[in-house]
Formats: sequence, C-alpha cells, structure tokens
Amino acid sequence: MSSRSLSWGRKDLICIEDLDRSEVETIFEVAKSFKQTMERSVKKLPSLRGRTVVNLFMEPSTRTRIAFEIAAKRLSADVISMVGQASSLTKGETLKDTARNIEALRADLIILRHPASGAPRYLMDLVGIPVINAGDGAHAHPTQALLDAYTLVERFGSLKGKRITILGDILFSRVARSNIWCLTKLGAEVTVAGPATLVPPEFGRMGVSVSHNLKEALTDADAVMLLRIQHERQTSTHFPSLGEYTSMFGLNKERASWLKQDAIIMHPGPINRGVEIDSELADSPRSVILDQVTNGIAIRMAVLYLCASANNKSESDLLA
Amino acid sequence: MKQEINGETIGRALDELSAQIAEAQAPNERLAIVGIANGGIRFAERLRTRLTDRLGEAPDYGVIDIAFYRDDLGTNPIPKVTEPTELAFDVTGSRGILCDDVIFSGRTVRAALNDLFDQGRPQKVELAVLCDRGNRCLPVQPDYVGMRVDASPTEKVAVLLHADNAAADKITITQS
Repeated sequence: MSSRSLSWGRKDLICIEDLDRSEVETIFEVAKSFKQTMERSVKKLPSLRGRTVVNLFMEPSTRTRIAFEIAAKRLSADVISMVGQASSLTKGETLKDTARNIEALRADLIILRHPASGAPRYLMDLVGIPVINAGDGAHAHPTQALLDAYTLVERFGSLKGKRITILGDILFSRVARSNIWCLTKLGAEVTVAGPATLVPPEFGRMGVSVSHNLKEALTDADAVMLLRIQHERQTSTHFPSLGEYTSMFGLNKERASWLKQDAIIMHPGPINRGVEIDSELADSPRSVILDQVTNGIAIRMAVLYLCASANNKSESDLLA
Repeated sequence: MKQEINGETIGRALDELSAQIAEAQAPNERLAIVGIANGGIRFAERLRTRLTDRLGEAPDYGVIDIAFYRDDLGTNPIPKVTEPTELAFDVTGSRGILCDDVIFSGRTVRAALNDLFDQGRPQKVELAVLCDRGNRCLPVQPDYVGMRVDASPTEKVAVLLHADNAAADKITITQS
C-alpha cells in the first residue's frame, strides 16, 4: 500500500483565504475520485459510517443544503438538518446555545449557513468538532467557490492566465468574494463587472480588475460567472429597475459572442431567467450550470471526507 | 538491509502464480484481474500478461482504490488518491482475482472486498499476492502466494516492479 499522504491537516473549512494552493488542489484531487464513484450503481461509500453530520441552516437555501445532505449521505454519514429562521435569531447568543446543544447530541461535524459574517468561525472556536461554512453573510461561501473553480479546471486544465469575468451583484456576494480568492490563488486573471453601485472600485485591492463596461469585461474572456440579482433588496437603491439591469448588464446572445469561442457560462443558481441571463443561453451548450451542480456534490464529499479525516479529537468506533 | 530478492526470483514466482490461476480456471468462467492500488497494479499487469499467453485471450482487468473504504479515517494520515477504482467490466458473475504486492494485516483486502461487492456480485473472488509477510490481523488468507518472506511487524517490505525492465525488479526487506 502506498505510504504517501495527502497534504491536509485542517478540520474546519471557514473561507478560501485560509487555504493554500496545494490544499485547494488536494480538494480537487479527492473530488475527482468521488466524482467517478457517482457513476456507479451503488453510489454510497462507507467513509463516514457511524458519524453524525448536522446541517445547520439559519438562512434559506435549497441547493447548498441538499448538496451537502447528498454528499454526507453518499459517505454513509447520518445527517440531521436543522433549519432556523433568521428573523428569530438573536445572533451570537442563540448560536452559542445551539452549538452547545449540537455538541450534547454528540454530533461529529457541523455544516453552518448563517446570515451573519463570521458566524462559522465563532462556532468553530466554541466546539471541538469540524465546522464547515456553507455561506456566512456577505463574507464567504467556500464550497461554492471550490466547485466553480473545479468546474473551470475540469474544462481548461490549468487556470493560469485564464480570463474569468464575474458579472453582477459583486458588492453583496459571498460567492464573488470566495471566487476571487480561489481563482486568483489558482493563477486566473479575474475581472469583476456590473453597475458601479454593485461593483465598487475597492475590489481592485483583492487583485482583480474592476470594470463597469460590459463589452470590455466580456471581450476575450474564457469564462463568465453570472451572479443572481437579489432584487428583493436591491431594486430600490442600486439600479433603477430589473428591466434596466437586463438591458445594461444581462447576458444575451450578442454579448456572449464577445467571449472567446470556447468560453463557458457559469451561474451558482438559482438563475433568474430573462434577468441576468437570457433563457436560451442558460440552456445552450456553453452553459455549464448543471455541471456545477454535479460538481458541487463531489466537492462537498471531498471537503467532508478531508475535514473528518483530519479531526483527531473525535472518538471513533474504528477498528484500531 | 536484511534481505533482497532479485528480478529472476520474482519472475519465476509470477510464472508459477499465473500457472496456478490458469489451471484453476473453469471453462465457462469469466476471469477478471483486479489490482489493488497502488502496489497491486503493476503486479496485476504482470499476471495479466502471463495469463493472456497461457489462456490465449486477455482476462478482464480493473483497479480498486480502497482509499474511501479504509477503516482508519481520522486516526492515520489520509492516503494519496492516485488510481481511482475503475472496473470496466461486469463484476457480476465474474471470477475476480484481487491482486496485491504484499499482504500484511489483511485490512486492505477487507476494504477491497467491500468496494468490489458495492459494484456487483462476483461468482467467485480469490486473492493473489506476490509476497506474504505474515502477521495477519484479520481472518484473510491468499489463494495464490508468490513467496513468503520473513519480516517482523516493524520491518519494511518494499516491492519495486519496473514498468519496462523486469530484470531490475526487486523486493527489499529493511529495518525501518
């Protein structure tokens, strides 16, 4: 048997900034193996058998919660989903109580989605078991960034020098922030684009180009990553109307033709057809939106597997 | 170094192993050679080449990586995943020969069996090893053994099979 080991010693995944490049590549390597197991008739693997994973979602989510749940179940973990209402939270104190309860349940790992930036790190300091951030406020959504980058690596091999444009609501987006960290770590040239109100020049300090000119941002890009326009909170202040956003920044056929010939179109979902992307384009061969969903399971299996593996604090019922 | 076994001895062992496996082959059985990653892969390839000569046709072939079937998650370092499990044949109904270069505790074989049975129901599964170093921890015994070596649990048994130079193959036993 091989004595070589993967470079991974981390029990928590809070944000991409914490990771070095080799750790990101380790996640991809493990995810690739897990993705192959998804083609089997029996998709379940015994890696996390006997472990309990708590899916703690204090903010609405469908895709991420389900992807984590499937990932944990494919690894044979027992999964408990707790869905809280953000409005009833008295942030810190309630989270502390919740954490204590989860520990008392003898859970082995917590996946946390929370409206407050920093909540997962706060929780990590409170409990001894692994904590995985499934999105906190406008701060980070590390597994989304990892699955996006993995989808790009699958398509292009190396991301060195690849031009990737992130378009839309950058200001409030944890997906954009995590993606900027992840893609620049892997050597990509990232441009953030959209209306000036949603794409402030301060993002330039993260090592990306900031553009308010759509043609300039899309021309010769290898990939465009669209972000959902969260119209529930933005219509009144950040741009005059959804219609105007679409006419100025929505991706349509003509604008997609500015991209490179083999460029791909990405979206973390849920998509607003006809707002940030033309419906036909979302279903076109250039769209990898559904590949992202599939890769999201493999990436989350890899993260769960690695973080659980690195957690030496938990007692296990393994054969010694 | 305590002991070194040369390529010629290894070659003879491989010849004998393939003869035994071929002899036990029943007319209607579908033979499949399955290497356990990483050490068992080259061993399995060597056996398969010899069996192709003896049987007149190439047996089915696959690789099992037990990384996700290990029983020591969280207690030992995470193994490097290099050769994902790939069985490009119908496992159900086959005569599978699991191949590993060295058998020690037997845990790897247990994990490989679990992986194999998640992918189908073989008619029969046998185990071939190049090197049996004893000190089993599980009730797992190989059906075909190339050689038995005398090594204590703390000694290291390293099998080196070259891609294109079988004469340089060797097995070394060293005190770690």
